[in-house]
Amino acid sequence: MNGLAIGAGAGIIGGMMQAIAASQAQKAMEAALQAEIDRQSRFRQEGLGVLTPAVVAMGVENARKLMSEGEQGRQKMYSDVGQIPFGQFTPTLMDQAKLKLLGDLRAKLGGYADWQNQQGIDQLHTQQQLNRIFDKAAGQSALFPYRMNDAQHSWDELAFWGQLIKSIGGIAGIWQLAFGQGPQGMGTTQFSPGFGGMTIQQPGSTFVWTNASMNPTL
Amino acid sequence: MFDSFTSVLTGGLINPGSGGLSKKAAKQEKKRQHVLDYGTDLINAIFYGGTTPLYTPVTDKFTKSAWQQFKANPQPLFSLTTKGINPFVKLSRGAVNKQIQRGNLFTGSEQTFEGFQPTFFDQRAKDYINFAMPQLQKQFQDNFAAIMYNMANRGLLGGSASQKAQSDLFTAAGQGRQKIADEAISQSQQLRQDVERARQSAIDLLYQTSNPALATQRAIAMASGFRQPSTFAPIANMFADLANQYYMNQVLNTYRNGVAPLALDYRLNPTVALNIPRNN
Repeated sequence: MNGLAIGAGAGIIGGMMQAIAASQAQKAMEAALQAEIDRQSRFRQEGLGVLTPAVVAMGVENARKLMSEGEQGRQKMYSDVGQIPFGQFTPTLMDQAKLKLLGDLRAKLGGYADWQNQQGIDQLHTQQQLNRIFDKAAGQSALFPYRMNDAQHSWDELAFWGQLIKSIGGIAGIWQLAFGQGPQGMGTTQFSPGFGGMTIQQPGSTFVWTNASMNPTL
Repeated sequence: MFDSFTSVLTGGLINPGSGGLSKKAAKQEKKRQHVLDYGTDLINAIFYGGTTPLYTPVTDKFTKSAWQQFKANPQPLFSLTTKGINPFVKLSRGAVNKQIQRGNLFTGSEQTFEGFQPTFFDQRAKDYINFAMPQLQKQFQDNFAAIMYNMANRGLLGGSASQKAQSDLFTAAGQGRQKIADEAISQSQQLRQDVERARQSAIDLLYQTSNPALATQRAIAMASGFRQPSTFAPIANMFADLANQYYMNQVLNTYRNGVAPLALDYRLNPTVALNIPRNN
């Protein structure tokens, strides 16, 4: 078999292997990117799942509920404190009613403070939950360069063998050109003027023999 | 380690590919997340109550003698893996020291924390009420006695003026009680906010360091700080307005009766002196 033919064949096969490896690596990188996008999307969904009810709870409906609870709590506290005796003193029913009314109005005002207090604590809890999700997302995001690196090199083995085969083909071609015969008793071959480091001038383009492959250069 | 066919073929000399960097990094990230989960659970147990393992890192390698002592009195060991912090069962000195070198080994035991329960915050409010109410009670009794004496002195006891005075006193006392209750609620709420902020701070620290031991230390220090009794200031005079009103009333009535207010009264309440022209 002609050494140049071996070189050309090995070059084609090696080149094909490298091309496949590059193509697959590209696909793997795209898949890694898509997986990261999906992963971050899931974190975003998780975050929305936490945020949505928290935001709803900030609305006026919940505010009214919390204020009402606060108002009732304060009324009970006023009532409890009112039970503590101050000595031999009996207020009239009118005095008691007047004080109750004042207390109710005061408790209503206090309800606003209770709502704000509870809202502040709820927001802290929401922030903590979001921070947890954010930290997980950031942790996964920090892994992304490593994942891309893995994807980029996932077909390196095939590329390595392709490169090796191409190199062997190149050696075969050089051997043929240098000695005019196959490297391992393949017999003499006719020198082909179109190859072996010679350039063939073609209109509009130049073919250069480089390492068992032909690359057109303009 | 042989990762690829080529690596096996070349005895590890040539190993095309990335070497699985992302898997190694992902393992570390999983471990970090487990540490954060554990730290968060611990902080939550400290602040909200509950039972949780309390792990202490083992930092010193076992010498032969230390290992003999350990084997004579073994303690449960735990190691940090990608599946969490689990009991470490390979109880050989070499394996244990290897885990210590990697910073993965802990001793641990279950611990129960009471946490800041609603009763804790309620107690804060009750403590304030218990502190303030006797003061209000004394103010009430002093003012009640003073006004009733004044009424009796003027022969008004039992009349409508006396009834009105008692009614005003009762209202002022009631409002004083409500004010104390509001202050008690406010202090209780402030304490709850402080506790929540302390918890947030401990969690922030946990994330910053990924070191639950440091964050827990801070949480415990903060928790013990909140349990210290606060210094309460004495309550203000809740009957000042009412007493002043009756004082003014008396002064004006005295003047209206054709007798000038005493000089002592001017000294005690200069505003009266400014408002009332001297009758020469």
